[in-house]
Amino acid sequence: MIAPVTLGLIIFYFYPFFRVIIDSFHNIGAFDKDMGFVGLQNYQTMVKDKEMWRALGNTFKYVAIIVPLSLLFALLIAVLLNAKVKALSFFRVIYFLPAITMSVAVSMVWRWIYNGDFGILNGLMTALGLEPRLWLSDKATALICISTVSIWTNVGYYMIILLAGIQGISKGYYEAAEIDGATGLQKFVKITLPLLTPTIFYVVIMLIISTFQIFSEIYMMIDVKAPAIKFTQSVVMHFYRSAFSYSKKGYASAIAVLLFVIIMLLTVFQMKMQKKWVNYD
Amino acid sequence: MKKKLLATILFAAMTATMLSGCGEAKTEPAPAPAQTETKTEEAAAPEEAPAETAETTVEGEIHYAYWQDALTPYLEESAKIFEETYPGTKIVLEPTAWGEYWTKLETAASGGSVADVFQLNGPNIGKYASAGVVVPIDEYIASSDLDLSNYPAALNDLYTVEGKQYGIAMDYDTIGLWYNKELFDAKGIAYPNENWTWDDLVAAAKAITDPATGTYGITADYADQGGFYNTVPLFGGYIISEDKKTSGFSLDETKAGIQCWVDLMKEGYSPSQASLTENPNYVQLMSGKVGMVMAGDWFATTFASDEAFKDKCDVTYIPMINGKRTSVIHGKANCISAATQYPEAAWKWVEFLAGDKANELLGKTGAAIPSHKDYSALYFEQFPQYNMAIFADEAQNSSYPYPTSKTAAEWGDIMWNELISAYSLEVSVSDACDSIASQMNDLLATE
Amino acid sequence: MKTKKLKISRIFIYVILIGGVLIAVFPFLWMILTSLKTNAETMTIPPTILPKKIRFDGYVTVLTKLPFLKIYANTIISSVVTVIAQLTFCAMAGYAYARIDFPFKNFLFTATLAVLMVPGTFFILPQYRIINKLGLLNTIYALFLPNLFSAMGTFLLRQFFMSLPQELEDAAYIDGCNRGKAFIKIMLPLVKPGLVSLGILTFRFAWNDLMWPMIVNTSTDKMTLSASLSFMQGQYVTDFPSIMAGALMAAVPMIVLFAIFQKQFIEGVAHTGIKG
Repeated sequence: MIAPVTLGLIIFYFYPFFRVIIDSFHNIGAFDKDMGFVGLQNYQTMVKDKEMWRALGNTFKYVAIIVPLSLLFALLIAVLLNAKVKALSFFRVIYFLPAITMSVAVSMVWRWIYNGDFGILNGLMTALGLEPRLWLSDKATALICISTVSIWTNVGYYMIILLAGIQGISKGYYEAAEIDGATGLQKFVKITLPLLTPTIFYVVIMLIISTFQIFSEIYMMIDVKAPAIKFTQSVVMHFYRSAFSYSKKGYASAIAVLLFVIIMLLTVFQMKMQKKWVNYD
Repeated sequence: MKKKLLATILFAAMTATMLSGCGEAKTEPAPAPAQTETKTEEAAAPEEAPAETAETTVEGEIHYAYWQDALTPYLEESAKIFEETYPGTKIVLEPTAWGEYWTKLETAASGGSVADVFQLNGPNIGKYASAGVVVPIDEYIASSDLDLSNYPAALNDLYTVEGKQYGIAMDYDTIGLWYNKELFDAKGIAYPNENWTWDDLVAAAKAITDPATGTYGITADYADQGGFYNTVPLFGGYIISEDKKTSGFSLDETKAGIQCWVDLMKEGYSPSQASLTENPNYVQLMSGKVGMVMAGDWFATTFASDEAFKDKCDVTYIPMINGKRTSVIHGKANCISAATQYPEAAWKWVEFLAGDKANELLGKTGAAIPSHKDYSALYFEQFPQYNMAIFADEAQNSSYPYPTSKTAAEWGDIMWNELISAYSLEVSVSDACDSIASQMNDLLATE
Repeated sequence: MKTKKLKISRIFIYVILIGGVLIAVFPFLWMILTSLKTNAETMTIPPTILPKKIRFDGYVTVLTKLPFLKIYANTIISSVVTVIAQLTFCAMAGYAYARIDFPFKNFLFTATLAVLMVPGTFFILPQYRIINKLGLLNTIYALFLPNLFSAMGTFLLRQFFMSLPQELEDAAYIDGCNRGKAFIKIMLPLVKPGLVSLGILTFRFAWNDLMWPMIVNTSTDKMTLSASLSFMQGQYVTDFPSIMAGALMAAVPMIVLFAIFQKQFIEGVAHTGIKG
């Protein structure tokens, strides 16, 4: 029964797992030629690599911006939709649209919207009498602009999950609260939120792990040759460029190992924290 | 009921996978039974075959990788003729966007699934040749009808690594100064001409730059082939020494050849480096935002096919510095993969593309200047509205060999990495160049 | 007094919701408008909002320069095969882990869990080499082969199976079913929500994946939609109408599919949160 999955996992996951770790101790040059065992050299290079630290910093920034804002907006919309609005399914569908659209296509449209010369955003800015900006090239705005694209896609998707979570809370709690004279806000804070924590926990974990690996949005929106690459590239992007643009597959493997370690730590941290704030009944 | 459903799904999935597999089998490079015999013949006589080029049965499916989209019509036409001449061959064109071409090519070459024939350029020939990914073609050339003197000597040299030639340039490029006539007219300035010096260029750039309308005089973003490769020699500097052992970036003369560009940036005569990365130089020229762009001849087709822009531009010589003018000359070459299963057919394709018929076709489509000297003129005839003769003149009289070495791909990246900060006005040209020099010398030492 | 307060808060809610709708929908509108313009119209400063005349040049370029239908087929086949295979394999394995005892069970399960922790990017390089050794580079098989096996799927379905009471199965055995029959006739249907959720998650991932298809298939007729869009953006840098046309053509079928199967989609997604 377990044969297919296990066999597949062994070939495509267990073996590669060890292979990558081994690779990270080798110098692998152009055309994937193994040029020999170099011990910890790749890791030493990594520590000294300014680009690596910048990519790491950028990635943490992405997480810090995208996760809370995605959660916030998704929760907001979910709560609003739960308030017995008309045309509920219409709203649900529209909000879900960004999530159902191919993320590469989404990145392309937003790149066009943000275009420094011909983009509609700058058109709007000028029309309102404001300075047009080079959104995707300016250090101050590039990372935030890419983040908004990710948030835009995330909100609809996680909103559905949160809404289901909210609707799963039994009405009995609310009725009891009403009898005690609770206001809408009190009901939300004292009943909805605490009982929603398992769902929120799930959403947060998913968001953190997937945002940490952000790649395609950046790849599609920032040209590899752009000066902006330095302050927008993520760890995964740095991995891609090291492996494929600069033919340093050994070094790239080291980056992959680092990525793994960080995500492990994050997940373990989350698991431990969940005991503190998540209520399972 | 449910069991049947599951079984049906599994069956459908398996069939679908197998069906798509069947469809693929025909197009896979794996040799079909009819071809295995020819293969053993060819394998037995790879060196003798050139003696009887026309008679040997040439068969196989040749995948051909290239990047310039404008070449497609010429390639499709060439492929048709080639396939008629050698029935049993099939040419499969594999264009890739420029931005991803080198990444894809290298990944494919590491994987052994690279095209049988692919285009290489100056920065990359060293890397591919020294790794043995492409094969030398000297013997093929020697026993063919091709005459190397028909092609620019500088380009034959470019594709010769350690005494062996790996490719024949299929075209050549030189650099010219493209300009938007409307912007010159609006400011009442005379168009650039062959007597222009760099100072004339700067003056015109200054005059055209107009913050009120958001126009700029010239694009001065990071450009090697289209930019400082042409100015550095005129200041007395060089990119790489003749013996390919030292980097020229530590020289003051080289720095001066780059500084003149960064100065244009500093003065505000050019859109910023960031802006030009988002919308490349020729786009900004076409949209009427910039007055001049120093770029290669290959933009002629792009400009000429744009309804709105085609009558607004022209091109002339790049300006002189210290009384002299020079343009770097470059060309793409077709090289044969060491992993090809059809070396004979691959060579025939390369030979065909270097031959009379293909060069004639290329010239007529106006996609690039054919490298064969008898046919270059055909290209210029396609664009009578532009002053295209300057490109041929520069190739003849003021050409400068394209700087390259075995590790050129790597130091090319370093050049870009360091200088991009200089063009973005974040670091000084001098500091950037010193940094390049030390890294480049380290690389050159490994060659 | 209470009704007035309610009315204001109601209006407030609608305002926010509609504002959100505009933000959600605007990019699509802009995509459509851009794809119908000429090249020159897209490069004006300030931007032209409406095209003077509706033109389909962009679409023509995309359809002639790329074997779009083939690319579509590749993406669909790859995604569908991945989903079906995963559902099958992971259901079998998930059930086994939940109900059957076998040697090394705990060890294998922990190893499977460990894979879950590892980001997908980690495996790419060796997986590439394996596909290469198998001679499957630049084929449709390369697109989905590694994804057929999922630690995540196994784990998810195991959870679902574990949540089913043993009595149901026991009842089936008493009635004379063997294990296989019980699995197919009773257990599988009961974990349907889990299957749907996994199916949707897997489909979404396979459909959107960029890095893997990009490095593994290089010919235009073997690409997936995401890789081909990336190719288009690089090749036709300034041809914005074509780029937008391509993006639109890639996005529309999914949107149509979604519009038809809304309920199932949304329910499926909702369930991923409940059992997670």
